[in-house]
Amino acid sequence: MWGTYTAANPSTTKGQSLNVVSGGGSDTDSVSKFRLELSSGKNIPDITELNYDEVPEFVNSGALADISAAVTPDLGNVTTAAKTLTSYDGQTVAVPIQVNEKLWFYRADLFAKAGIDPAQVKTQADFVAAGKKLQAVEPGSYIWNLPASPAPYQWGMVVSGNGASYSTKSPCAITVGSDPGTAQAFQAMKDLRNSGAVSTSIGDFTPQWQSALANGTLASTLSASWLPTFIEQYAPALKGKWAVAQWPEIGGAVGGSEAGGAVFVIPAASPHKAQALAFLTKTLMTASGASAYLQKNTAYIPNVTSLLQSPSVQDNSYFGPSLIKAYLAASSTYKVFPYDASNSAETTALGDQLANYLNSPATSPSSFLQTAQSQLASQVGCPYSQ
Amino acid sequence: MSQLQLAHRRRDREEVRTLPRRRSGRALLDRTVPYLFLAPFLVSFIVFFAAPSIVSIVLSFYRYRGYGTASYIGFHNYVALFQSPEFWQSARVTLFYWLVPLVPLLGGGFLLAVLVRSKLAKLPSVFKPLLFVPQVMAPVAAAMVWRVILSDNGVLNSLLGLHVDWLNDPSAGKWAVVLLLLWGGIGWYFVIFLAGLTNVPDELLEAAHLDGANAMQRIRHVTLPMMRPIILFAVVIDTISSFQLFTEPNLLVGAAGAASATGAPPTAAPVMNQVVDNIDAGQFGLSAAAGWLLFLAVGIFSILQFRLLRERGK
Repeated sequence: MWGTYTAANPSTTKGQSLNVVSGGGSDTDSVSKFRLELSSGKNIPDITELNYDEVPEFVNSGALADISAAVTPDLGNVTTAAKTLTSYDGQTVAVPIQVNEKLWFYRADLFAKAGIDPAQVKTQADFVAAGKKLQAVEPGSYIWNLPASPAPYQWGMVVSGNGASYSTKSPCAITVGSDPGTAQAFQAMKDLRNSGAVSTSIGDFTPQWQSALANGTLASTLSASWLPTFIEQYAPALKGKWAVAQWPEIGGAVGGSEAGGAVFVIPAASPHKAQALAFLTKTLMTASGASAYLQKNTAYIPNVTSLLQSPSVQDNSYFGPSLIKAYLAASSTYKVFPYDASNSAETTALGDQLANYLNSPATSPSSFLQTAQSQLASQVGCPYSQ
Repeated sequence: MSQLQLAHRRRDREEVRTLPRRRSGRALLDRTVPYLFLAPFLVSFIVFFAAPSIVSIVLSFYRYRGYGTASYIGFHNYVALFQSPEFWQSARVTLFYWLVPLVPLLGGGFLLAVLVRSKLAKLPSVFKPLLFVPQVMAPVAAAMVWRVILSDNGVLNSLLGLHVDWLNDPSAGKWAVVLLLLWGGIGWYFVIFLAGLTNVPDELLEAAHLDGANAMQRIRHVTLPMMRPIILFAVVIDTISSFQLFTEPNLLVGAAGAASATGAPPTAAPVMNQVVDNIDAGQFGLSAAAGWLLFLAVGIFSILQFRLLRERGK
């Protein structure tokens, strides 16, 4: 990307170079590293990659540069979902890399054998029924995986679409204890785990998960638009057998997203804001720049609207045309969860309570949400306090 | 008094003054040199331990994200932890990891040491390194190997004909961690007790034997009382390491995509996860408070153990 950018803009990029530094092995590592850089005031990067759900903390603390002047001229080039990711709380602070649409990945060959039409799977009950149908012809095969301690993004995708929220800004308070959307998501996770159609022992990003996606143990998975690269990597032999559809309504969620998406932000203390912004906007928000990125990453779905018609996007080499078809359909119901500035603490507390709920005989999640409420109220207080 | 005498006296005084000056210079050097040798340790201790400890005590009274402004909130972080069900849940899990393996770990280590030192063991030089090997193995590697052993179709389930989901079932997960702790720790306590047994005089054991004491009686009435300081040391070390437990549960029963950043589900997460998770969540004050509560708990339990197990009269 940098090479293409400098070659296209030799006069404005003369003397510039790009030094890429790893933020660590996980999103958490990356955020911790960024916090340390802000704390020390040293080695502050000109550009940092974050998930959109991590942006509010840094906007709230005033750590990010307002980039509206540079981004606004190119906003017309990108999709509506990508536009959403450029700002938080009225401040334009981010250049989106990837919009995380909710997508349902399935084994077309196994679904055809079981007589399942994903387009007809509309509700959670339909989803479970499809899982049973699948097991009738493929014993030992599951339609999703939800381990005892699900990954935060698994229930995060549900709450992003069913109107849930964890707090209110005015008055500033944690409200998750009585939030119907979160309760509905917790209940849905439990019901799905109890249905028998979902594997309860396979956790995401484990070796078992990788092999389950390759050997048919997992015949489908509810995930997001970042997954294609991983499936291609885990199951290269299944090219053309995996396809993509829209999520059914799980836990009352119609649409939504996974953490919103991935974005680049520019720290307020960055010494080269103008140069960094020029690079980001020209590379990711214009057709010429994004097409160069697309050529390097064939599984990438660009945010630039005109590039969505590119042959490689319209007919993905691994998933075929179903990927962009499902992606565009999911765009119409794309929503971002109302993240607040204490999302990290909320995710940890709620994730722990979800695990406790899933592993208890209790049928209602209300006492577990109350526990999360009291814990967050005492530990975080006002989620927007600095 | 003549002028000459006065001059003499002045010179004498000067001599008296100069001699001690030389001596005091030497003495000063003698006193300083040890500290110069100690300086590398003292400097690193102050920079890497004492100063961060003081900062973390101060931090525990603040709300701080790791950057920006820190707000003083008094004892709120401590109160929040005491009111947190998750904190108490992790405290109970930590007590489980401490108390459940305690007897088999120390008892097993002691019995193995007695066996290897007895005439029953034919090849002690073979058993000693063999029993210590798990201790040498990196905890990360050990946890990875045990993940394979304890998986659905792993060695343990296959050998025993079990169908236990050791790694995913929350109630079985804690026992899986205990198995790993026993495997990894028994060799360490074996070595400690073996060293302790060399302090038990053979003459005393022979005298007891001649007096008609059988093997069990010799262990109970001679070996164990003589080993009291070693047992105390082993118990205190086990307590400290159990309270600081982090790697084993998070690697064994945790997953990369799990709810918390550390990995282990709350049903198997030790109290150290409260420290790490709060750092990851940008709650540095809360993390510091959790660390100091952990330190206090270790201190209190260690003092109690010293009081209960120390020899009477000492």
